[in-house]
Amino acid sequence: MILPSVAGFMIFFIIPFVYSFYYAFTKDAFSKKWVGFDNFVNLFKSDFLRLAIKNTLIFTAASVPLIMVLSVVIALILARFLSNAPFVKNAFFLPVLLPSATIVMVWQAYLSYVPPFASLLVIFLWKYVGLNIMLILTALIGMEKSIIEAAHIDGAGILRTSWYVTLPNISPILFFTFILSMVNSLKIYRESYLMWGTHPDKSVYMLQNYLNNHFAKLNYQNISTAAILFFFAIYIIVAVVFLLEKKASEQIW
Amino acid sequence: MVRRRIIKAIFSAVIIILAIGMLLPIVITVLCSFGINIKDEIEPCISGYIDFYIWKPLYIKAFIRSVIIAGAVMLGTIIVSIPAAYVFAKVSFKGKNLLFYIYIIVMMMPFQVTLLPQYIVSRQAGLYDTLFAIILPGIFTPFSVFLLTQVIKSIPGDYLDAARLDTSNIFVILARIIIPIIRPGIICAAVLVFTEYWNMVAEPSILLDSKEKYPLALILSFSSSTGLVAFAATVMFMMLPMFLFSFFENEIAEGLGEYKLK
Repeated sequence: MILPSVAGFMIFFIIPFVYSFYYAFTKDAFSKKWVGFDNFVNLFKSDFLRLAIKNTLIFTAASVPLIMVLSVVIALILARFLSNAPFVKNAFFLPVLLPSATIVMVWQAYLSYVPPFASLLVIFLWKYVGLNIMLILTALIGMEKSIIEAAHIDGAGILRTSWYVTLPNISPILFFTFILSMVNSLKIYRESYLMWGTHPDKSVYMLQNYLNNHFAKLNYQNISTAAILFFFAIYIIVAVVFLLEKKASEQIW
Repeated sequence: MVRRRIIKAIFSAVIIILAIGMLLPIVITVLCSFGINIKDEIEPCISGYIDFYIWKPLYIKAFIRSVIIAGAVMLGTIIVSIPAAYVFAKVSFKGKNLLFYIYIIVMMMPFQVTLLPQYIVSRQAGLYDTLFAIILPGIFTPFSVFLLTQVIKSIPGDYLDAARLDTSNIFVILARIIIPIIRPGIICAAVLVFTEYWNMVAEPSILLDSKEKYPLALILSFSSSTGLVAFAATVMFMMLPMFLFSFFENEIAEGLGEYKLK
């Protein structure tokens, strides 16, 4: 039953990925000489890679907290005051469904004077805030109304109830939206590529630009080495977030 | 009470204005496709759409290819994912958690990391520069397995025990019990997967070589494709996901609710 999925998953993702480990430790595609960690050392000497890592970190650090705060605030307001106006909720969700090419076209036509970094940030927020709101909203609606009412009877105001009662209760979904936002912030390359092609402004040259450009040159060694670094970076982040989530949910109960 | 009403009015107004702002790019695109442009004055017309349907077959052909790719991936991934998700959620075997963890990690990888592996496979399997180079890996992406597993986990065990008394055929249980219950989750996964592959740009640019095989998203991304017909094509392009969404709106909201870590 599970076999078709696992087989395809292995063939198209895992086995080739393991294979690319091998590339990361060899000299080039022809001689296949084993060079140990030389590729990793060389990679870190590259100014482009350092710039790419720096920009990716800055973008994620700026965009993820921003989108989390925005989506939580909007979701709380929607749930409290506008629960009978579904069209407002849909207006926020719609951009998730739209082709990136569309927004980029409009952006280029009317807002090309905005600095590249700010452009990407606004597009990211515009595109993904609705998905987060939807996720948080469904969790809010599923929450026991009695808990909030009890807090109100005890004399807690709107802000205090939200902070001490509502948010801790939906922490699993908050952690999930956090991870999802991070994944999506890495996907912003699509918009960047549509706007500026392979060589964007220095302030938005990201890891994905680096990987993609080396792909064009078919530089297997560089790209697999960088991909493996990426893999471990994500692995560590996911592990930490999972641990935090476990701790947080233990604290509530 | 009056104070609460004022707060409510202010918050609601801010949110509604924001919501209208969210829709602005969409409205601008639609206006542009009819030649209504803020910058240079052209007479409103529908020549963009006439070009799209009749005179510039490039766009409509690419549109059909996009439908084929996104549709095939959507159907394939649902068919493959439902049984796999059932096993992950309700059957225990050795190494299950590890395997599931690997699925999640691969799901979170940006596509550039999995792209090289996919490129190597498609080269070796002779799929390079065919639509299958995109469709086949797409079918096996872990996203919908993960989503559906979370949904199936929430089905009470009693339901399944009762079903097992009636029949031992697992496919009957899937078709009669599981699928009807998780319908919202399935639709949600289908729509999200469809939009993901509908919007894809960088993957086809690497896995396809000849321009005649490019999907519409990629064609629209070329700087050469401007003018009325490109905006008209864009409007047609965004109609389909919006139509799908409006069709299944309520079920999608329900499906997303199940989409959380447990």
